[in-house]
Amino acid sequence: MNQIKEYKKNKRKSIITGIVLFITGVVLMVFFTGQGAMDIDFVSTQRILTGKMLNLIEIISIYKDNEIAVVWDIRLPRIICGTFVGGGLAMAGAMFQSLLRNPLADPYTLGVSTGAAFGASLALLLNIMFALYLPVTIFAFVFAFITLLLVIFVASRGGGIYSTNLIISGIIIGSVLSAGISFIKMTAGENVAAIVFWLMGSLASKTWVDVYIIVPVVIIGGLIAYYFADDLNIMTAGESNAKTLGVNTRRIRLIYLITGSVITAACVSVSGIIGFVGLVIPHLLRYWLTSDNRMLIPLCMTLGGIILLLADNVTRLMFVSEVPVGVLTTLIGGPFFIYVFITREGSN
Amino acid sequence: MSIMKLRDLSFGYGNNPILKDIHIDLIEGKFTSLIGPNGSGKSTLIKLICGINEKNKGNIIYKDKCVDQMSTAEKAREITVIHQKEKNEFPFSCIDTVIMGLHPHRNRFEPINDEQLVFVKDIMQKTDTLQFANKLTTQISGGELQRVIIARALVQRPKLLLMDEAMSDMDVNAKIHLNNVIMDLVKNDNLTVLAINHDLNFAYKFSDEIIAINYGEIDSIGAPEKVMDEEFFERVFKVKADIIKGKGFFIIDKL
Repeated sequence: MNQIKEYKKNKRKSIITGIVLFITGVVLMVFFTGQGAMDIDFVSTQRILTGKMLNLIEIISIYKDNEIAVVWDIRLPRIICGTFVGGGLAMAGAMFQSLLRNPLADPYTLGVSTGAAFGASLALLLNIMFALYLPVTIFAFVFAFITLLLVIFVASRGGGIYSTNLIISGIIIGSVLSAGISFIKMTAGENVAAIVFWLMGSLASKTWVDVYIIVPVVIIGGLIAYYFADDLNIMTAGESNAKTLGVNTRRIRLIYLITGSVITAACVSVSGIIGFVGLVIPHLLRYWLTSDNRMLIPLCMTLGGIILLLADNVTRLMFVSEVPVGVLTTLIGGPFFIYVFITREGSN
Repeated sequence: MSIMKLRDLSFGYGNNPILKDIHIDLIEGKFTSLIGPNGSGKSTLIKLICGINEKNKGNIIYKDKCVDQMSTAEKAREITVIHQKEKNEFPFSCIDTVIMGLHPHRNRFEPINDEQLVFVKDIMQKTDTLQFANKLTTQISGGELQRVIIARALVQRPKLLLMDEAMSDMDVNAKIHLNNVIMDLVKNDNLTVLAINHDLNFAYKFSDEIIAINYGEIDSIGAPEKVMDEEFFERVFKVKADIIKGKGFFIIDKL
């Protein structure tokens, strides 16, 4: 009976860790709304938050308009976006790794992010050249989705939407789009800075519009991913084994391709390309706790959210001139990943 | 009673036929071994039955039902296959892997209950995998992994078990043990097994029935001692064999 007890203990450990991470995340979100260049004390921040949330005008009427604006319209959207982008990228990473049966896959492997970056660059370029106000986020999202459809189309014509075909097709289309981005940058000439900064990935100056894009997509996508997690577990054993175990592999593959890509597209549209969260977080959790996607996907949401939230607030609060958070996550995430990779259990 | 009927089954790539007009009645509650040289079409036959390869011609009938018309989930509750190589890049624990076998029998949101866990534990005990239940599949040896995969297949409670060299990496002790476990299920639970086996002595000892395939056609069907004689080894495998009646044989030399 020992082994069964240990099995249950392991499951419980994952669930408890998830709950602890969730609470930590919420506490951190609340904490960081009270931090920033403008000095607003903790109690005031909380009163502004509750007052705004429950629409109690009498509570907030004692505060100045600019204090309310800083807490509610500047800090909070950025904090929510950071958390949900981090969680979304980590979940999408877990999905793509399992789906493609490749531990090196991440949300950007299929080129969906390059599509989003291309769309955003194009919108920025057109805005600069013709003094337009095209919505960059929407452009990014639409191009990401078109890219996904192209990748699936090319893969299916090239022998079926299997792991290798998808990766190859993603690399091909991603390269073409990268070249396209370079061309756009060149065309932009002196105004290239806006595009370069967008591509580096940043959560600065996020608004409620971004929150309305990222939050529903991540929540609905996460629920879908959780619902089919059992099938995703079995998909990691390979196509024919999964079929043997009664998984409708074609259907599950399409569900996760679309869910993972839409989450990625929303994340990239909102914050540009933020590296390493989608690759490192699922790995870390697999070695630390479990590979079981029923646990892994919710855990990725919480830990991914916390990590990006921390990284973003470090860049926001500690550096005088803000470092793009995408640069920071890769700078810290890279060496950390090397450490985990070398010291993990079972490495030969 | 036959549990599965294969009728005029043919398969090939382009002009290169691999299986030609295969006609088999698989007897319920028997252990049948599929033997033959490399490239004779054994694996292809298993793949056709479980739907990984599309047949060109013919019919596969499981209990009066055309296999093509069964859904993946429906099939998984009746038939399971253990493939030659199982590879999982991700560090799942062995018990998590075995529990995957419950998949066709449970609803999505139903948590795994104690009754199911007792069943899983029982199968893992029988297959001698319980000792490393909480180890990761990436940390155990090839033979141990094969035992875990067999445990997963048994947890699936199939009526028909197909094995494509499911025990190739196991040591001789484990092989005998697992073969006995499966034989018990055949005798007591009316399980039907169709197994590809390159270890001819094992096929000889553990099979009720032998199906020999050569050049994509059925060479012979029957009880092991009837099928596997000296002339058979020369004809199908091109080797000289010394038969020890009722026990097995020594393969001596190439022809």
